[in-house]
Amino acid sequence: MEKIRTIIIDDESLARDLVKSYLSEMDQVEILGEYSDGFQGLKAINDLQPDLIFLDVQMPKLNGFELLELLDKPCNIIFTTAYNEYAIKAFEHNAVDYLLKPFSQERFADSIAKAIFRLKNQTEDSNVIENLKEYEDKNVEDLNRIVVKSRNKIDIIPVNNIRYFEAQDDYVMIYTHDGHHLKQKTMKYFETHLNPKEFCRIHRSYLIRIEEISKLEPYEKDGWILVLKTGEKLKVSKNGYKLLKQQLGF
Amino acid sequence: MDHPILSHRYGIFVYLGFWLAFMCSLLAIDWYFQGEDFTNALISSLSISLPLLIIAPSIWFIVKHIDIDKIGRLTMVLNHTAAAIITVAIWVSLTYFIHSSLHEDYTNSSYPDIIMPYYGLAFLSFALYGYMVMVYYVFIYYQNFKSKIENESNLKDLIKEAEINALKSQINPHFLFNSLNSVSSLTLVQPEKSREMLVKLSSFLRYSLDQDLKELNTLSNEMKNSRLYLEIEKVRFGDRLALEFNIDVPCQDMKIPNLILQPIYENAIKHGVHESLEPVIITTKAEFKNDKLCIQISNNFDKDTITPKGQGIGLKNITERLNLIYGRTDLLTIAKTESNFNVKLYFPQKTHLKSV
Repeated sequence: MEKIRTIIIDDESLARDLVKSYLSEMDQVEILGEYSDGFQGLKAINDLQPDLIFLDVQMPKLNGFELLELLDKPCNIIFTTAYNEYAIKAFEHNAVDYLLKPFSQERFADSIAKAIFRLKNQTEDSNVIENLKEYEDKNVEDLNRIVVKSRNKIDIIPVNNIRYFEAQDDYVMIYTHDGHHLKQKTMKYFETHLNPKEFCRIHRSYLIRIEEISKLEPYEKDGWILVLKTGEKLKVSKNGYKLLKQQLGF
Repeated sequence: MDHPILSHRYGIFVYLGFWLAFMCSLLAIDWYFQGEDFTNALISSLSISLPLLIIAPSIWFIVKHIDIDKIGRLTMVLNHTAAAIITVAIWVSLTYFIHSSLHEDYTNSSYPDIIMPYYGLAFLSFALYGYMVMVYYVFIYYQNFKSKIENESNLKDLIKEAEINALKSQINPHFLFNSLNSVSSLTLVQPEKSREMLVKLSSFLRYSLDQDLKELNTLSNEMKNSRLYLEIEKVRFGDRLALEFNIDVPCQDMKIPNLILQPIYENAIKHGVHESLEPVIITTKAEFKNDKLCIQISNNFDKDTITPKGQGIGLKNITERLNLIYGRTDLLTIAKTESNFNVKLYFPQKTHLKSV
């Protein structure tokens, strides 16, 4: 059998050393490289197309999950992290395994066995994923930043810079103070991952920052139009009007 | 405070028991020892003890309102003397009234002996007044003592709880697990260093667990512990973390609250080192000026870092703790520039000044 080609992405060198050391005793695995931050890791994944990736979650600039969002095609990932709260999210991203630091050599060997099984059969334990999805993610934190890839560039957008979101088919257009970015996500995702005190879903197609509202104008009969501080006019649905009423208390 | 006789379930029965014993002893004295006719003896003892039935519970209200802590000893004695005279007068008059109404062969003498002469009655009731006042005071002091003990244990529980909460937040599980992972790795790649790291980690944990958060400690002890923490982090992050210390020698023995600097260093690691690709320098400066120990901790950070929400809770807690200990809210200041975070803390050195 061909060797499994793997890379290690972790910002702590000792953590990488440990994985390397465990792997050195396994003939069936080959290490292509090790990377100390998300950007280098992303580049390596795209260049080398490894079979398996060891990925830390907590890293400067671009964390493990943000890196995953930027990948062109799904990869086999084994997460290695000291944070147990991301396990569900990891399996939702189709992770092969989730190793909690510090982990034993036996536990590590199990992960490799899982990876080999998946690579051979090219299947996913879809049952596991479906089951996991039923859990409500209790640790949903409000987003601080959103990463967007466009051609050859990666933009990290602080949520504070965002004025509003607009639905565009399978994508969402994010309007900031200095431009706009297209991101493959659902409106529902942003609606649930942003602070509801700061953002309001005024329409099926619009999620706006409440601070950006300039005024509400009546439109045709019983309709409303929302005017942003920049002068842009957005339609408000009946439901959206109710939400706004609750939020702003008028 | 509730009435000791009326508020207790069996209080009234116990009281009636005592009262009955008192009446019977009077009866015994008159009938058995003084050779009175039984009916007469019964009437006499009843006329003395019946007023007591009401008077004894009423004295409680007098005692309750004469609080020695509020009015002083002399006023208390005067108050009780006045109350005693009134009580005795009422009691003796009631005794004579009952006696005359019950007695069939009412004699002409206005003050007949009822077991004893009238001055004997007056003395008896006066003594009993004093005795009951004392019983009531003992009861009050016992109740106060009991509630004080209860309060104290409640307070202790509260402090314990606060300490446990503080410790939980102090020992960050991610720090712990990541450090243990580094140890795990060191045992394979640099076994001799792993022991050193474990010892450091243990010393740090022991210090953090042992400290009583109400207490002050010397700067040198605190710095020793902070250095342990930072050196452990340095093993994890290598060149990405640099440390600088600039501590004036006379400051070493000055006092600061236990572990007060720890959250600041943790913030520097979390928002500085965790988020930056470039090396982060954590600088600590300590000097003595204007009767206060001034400690400055600063770190650079990546200017693209997005400040996460919820930041500042740790610093707010420090301000609260300083306020509890020193009674001032202006002892912590924060200065933030584009790529530098600077926390300044002042610790008044009262004890230090006294020793100079």
